[in-house]
Amino acid sequence: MKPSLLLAISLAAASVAGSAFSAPTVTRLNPPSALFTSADPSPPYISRFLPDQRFDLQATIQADAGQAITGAVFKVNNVVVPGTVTVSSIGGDKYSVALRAYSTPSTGVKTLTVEATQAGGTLATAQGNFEIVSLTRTRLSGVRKAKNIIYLIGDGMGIAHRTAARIVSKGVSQGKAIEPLAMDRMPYTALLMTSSLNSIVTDSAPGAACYSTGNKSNNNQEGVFPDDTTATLSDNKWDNPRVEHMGTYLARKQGKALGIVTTADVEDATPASFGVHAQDRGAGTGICDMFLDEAAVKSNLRVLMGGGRKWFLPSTTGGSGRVNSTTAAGADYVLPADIATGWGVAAGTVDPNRDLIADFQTAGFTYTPDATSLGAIPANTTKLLGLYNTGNMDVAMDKIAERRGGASVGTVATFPDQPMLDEMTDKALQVLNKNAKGFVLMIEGSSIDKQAHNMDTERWILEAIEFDRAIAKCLAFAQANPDTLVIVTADHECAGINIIGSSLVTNAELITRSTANGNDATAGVINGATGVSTDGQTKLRTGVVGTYDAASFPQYQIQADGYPLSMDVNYKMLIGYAGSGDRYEDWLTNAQPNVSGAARDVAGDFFIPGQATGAGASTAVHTASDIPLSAAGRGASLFHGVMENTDVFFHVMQAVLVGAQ
Amino acid sequence: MTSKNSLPILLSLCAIGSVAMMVLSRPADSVTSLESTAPQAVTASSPAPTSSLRNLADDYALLAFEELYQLPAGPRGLEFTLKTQSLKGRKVRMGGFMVRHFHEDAGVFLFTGVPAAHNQAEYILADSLPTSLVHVMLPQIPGRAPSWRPQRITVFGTLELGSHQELDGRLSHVRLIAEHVADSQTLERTEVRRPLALQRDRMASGVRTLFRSSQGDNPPTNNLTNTAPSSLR
Repeated sequence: MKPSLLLAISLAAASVAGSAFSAPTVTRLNPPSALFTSADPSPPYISRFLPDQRFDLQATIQADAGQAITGAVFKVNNVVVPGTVTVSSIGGDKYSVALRAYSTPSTGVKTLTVEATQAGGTLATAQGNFEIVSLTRTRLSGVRKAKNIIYLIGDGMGIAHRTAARIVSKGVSQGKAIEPLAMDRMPYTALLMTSSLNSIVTDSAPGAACYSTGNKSNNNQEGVFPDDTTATLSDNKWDNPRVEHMGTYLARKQGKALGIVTTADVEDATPASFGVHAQDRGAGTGICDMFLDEAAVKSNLRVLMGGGRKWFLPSTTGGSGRVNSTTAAGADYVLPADIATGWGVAAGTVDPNRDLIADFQTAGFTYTPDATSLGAIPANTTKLLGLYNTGNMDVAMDKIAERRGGASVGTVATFPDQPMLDEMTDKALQVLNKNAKGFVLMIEGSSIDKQAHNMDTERWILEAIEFDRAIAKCLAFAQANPDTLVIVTADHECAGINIIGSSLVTNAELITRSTANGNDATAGVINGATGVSTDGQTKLRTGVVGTYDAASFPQYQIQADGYPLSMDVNYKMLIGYAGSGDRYEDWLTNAQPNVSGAARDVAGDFFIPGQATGAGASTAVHTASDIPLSAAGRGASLFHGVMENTDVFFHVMQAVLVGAQ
Repeated sequence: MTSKNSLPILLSLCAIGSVAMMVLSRPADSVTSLESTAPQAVTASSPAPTSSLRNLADDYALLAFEELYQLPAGPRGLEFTLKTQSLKGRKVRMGGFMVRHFHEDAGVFLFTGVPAAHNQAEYILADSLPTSLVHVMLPQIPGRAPSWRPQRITVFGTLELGSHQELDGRLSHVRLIAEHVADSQTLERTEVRRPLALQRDRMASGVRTLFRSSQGDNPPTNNLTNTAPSSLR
């Protein structure tokens, strides 16, 4: 740490300690800055925006005991910002002051000052900063603007997830990949640093929202900065300082359309991070209402596809999940008046019996409940809603098994006709391309992450293959529509995955070893007292895991549908987990998805204790390792080197607003 | 519970809990005198003289998870089968698995026809749980929540239908007001409760819940940071 920074921190600590006796104090200033938190005025600037991109100015003031904050002004570069500053008491002599939907066309680093007045006239003041990024032409000629933006986010997809998908679906022989993945064909590559505003390890909310807002946010939060409101306020989930989304900005400035496609519940963190503003990524009722009330109006949302039908059904309908509250998990939304006014959006209401599918249809959306109806949408469809499951959609492995006439696992028996991600991608592109002014489309391969959490190797590999098939559709679209920029990346790595080698034995032998109990003839017993963690080790680790030369080149047989005939081939590829939870491992495909790693595969008696903490932790966790980004199409050459995840937003906007090769 | 100072407290809690378990390890239907705060939780029927529930099986209609809703689902919501509707308010038995899941209501566990896990701390209510999810309501005992077990269990109870918002925000559509819980193979009674302090094997919200609390959420009333319930002292 820089000596000057240390000094600044101790000074700040001293001033906070002294303030309790003397004067009101500013305890938070949004947008976040190093200048405010540690008196560091130098780059990197934590918060950066585009010219005219809207964001809220907010501060939290600790008043003297029993005193009230009566007013506040915000100053940018020492000039008072015009507009209404709302003062709200948030309990404990704390006050939140906010000025909504600020923007400025002028570029450069700006100081932000808040001056709050306590009854009696005492001032509390603090300073921070932010940057309005100047987008300038890198070349004088040969430059064109990107018209269409496609973000493909493989949730949790690190480098090894990609490699594993390639080894299975394309094969390796004599040291060379027999064929590249679609994403391998993209000409530009970068590495992204993924930390969130409050942790080195991000979750999917700030990990995705950064691509839509250009800014870091706290874990669990999407499209907002953190604040200090408490549960005593009914609107506490919905009053956070907002940052304008890419989709909203480009709809407002250029008339572009927005599309959101996911294999998860559509309220899940990644899809919501492109269309709504929420402190709580779990507030599904409010998030899905906002898709229609705000995103369809302000961001020109024209395509929304995925799971999560439960949020769209009146609460009295079977399968509904709509919540009758603004504070519970799954909450509905009601905005404070200053946000509704400042941003010009609907204030929302608690309406558990809302028929949101009908409301989407009234707004002109064609509703498709399954793959058949999706495939049959008229060619002139301009708005498309697809809800293919009440919760997350089933994973590629289980959808493909059903299509091949196999067993119905997961929720496939309830929803037997769910589309594959490439089929959804096709239709999303068809509908969005109707907008002559272009579009922003986010496509998420969501269960790469979910199945990696569950350490279900075969299922996340097939998810990555399904995701790559969607990428292929987008690259073909970009070839036919050259002013399209395609970005393939993730939000974070999940599970610390890597490829450790291949099985030394045939599948038949693996089955034998996995069904015979260990030396003590009892399934699932860990012989800790003997110093041996499990008696399945000799059978399923020493006797199976082939490393280096012994790994050779596992071979999978790919069917006409693009997926392997079976993942349980002889001498199959083996995966290890570094961000792991407790699990039993027998290396075989699990018959059922979403079974706890601590409860399946016990007959093989090979127990691998996990490193993830928490009582009963049996899921793997996100890691902080950098993630790969691949780019193709108009402006792709802007993406190279090692970047902050927020840089992606500004490079995309460079391609859209200024142009690139 | 991870700081050094709290370790002796935790150990003594465990010791107290172990004693309490011996006292409380009775058939589930004999703990009716304890306070019930959940409106759905009903007091159990009269205790059976034997621990095996085989002789009770005839009194409870067998209802399979795959019989709950019409399959496949239509374009909108899920619809109960005629059989489910006919059993509304009646005594049924269902065989399935406890979801490996931390529930914020100590009187509830999620019950499915196939083994399933849900990490609510990570995903909140966006889940991949089977659509035929059943909420099993137990007589609520302060500080004691059902402990997850991987084995197949059979729940005997009264079938309740219709949407109801639970404490954790999730809507329940099918509730089983439990009277007995048994191991499915032996039909011997199973104790599905243990003091929270001893629940090493339940998936906890842990740090993430604390984090969310700091962001303004109501702290859950039954997470691992709670002190031991007074009934154990």
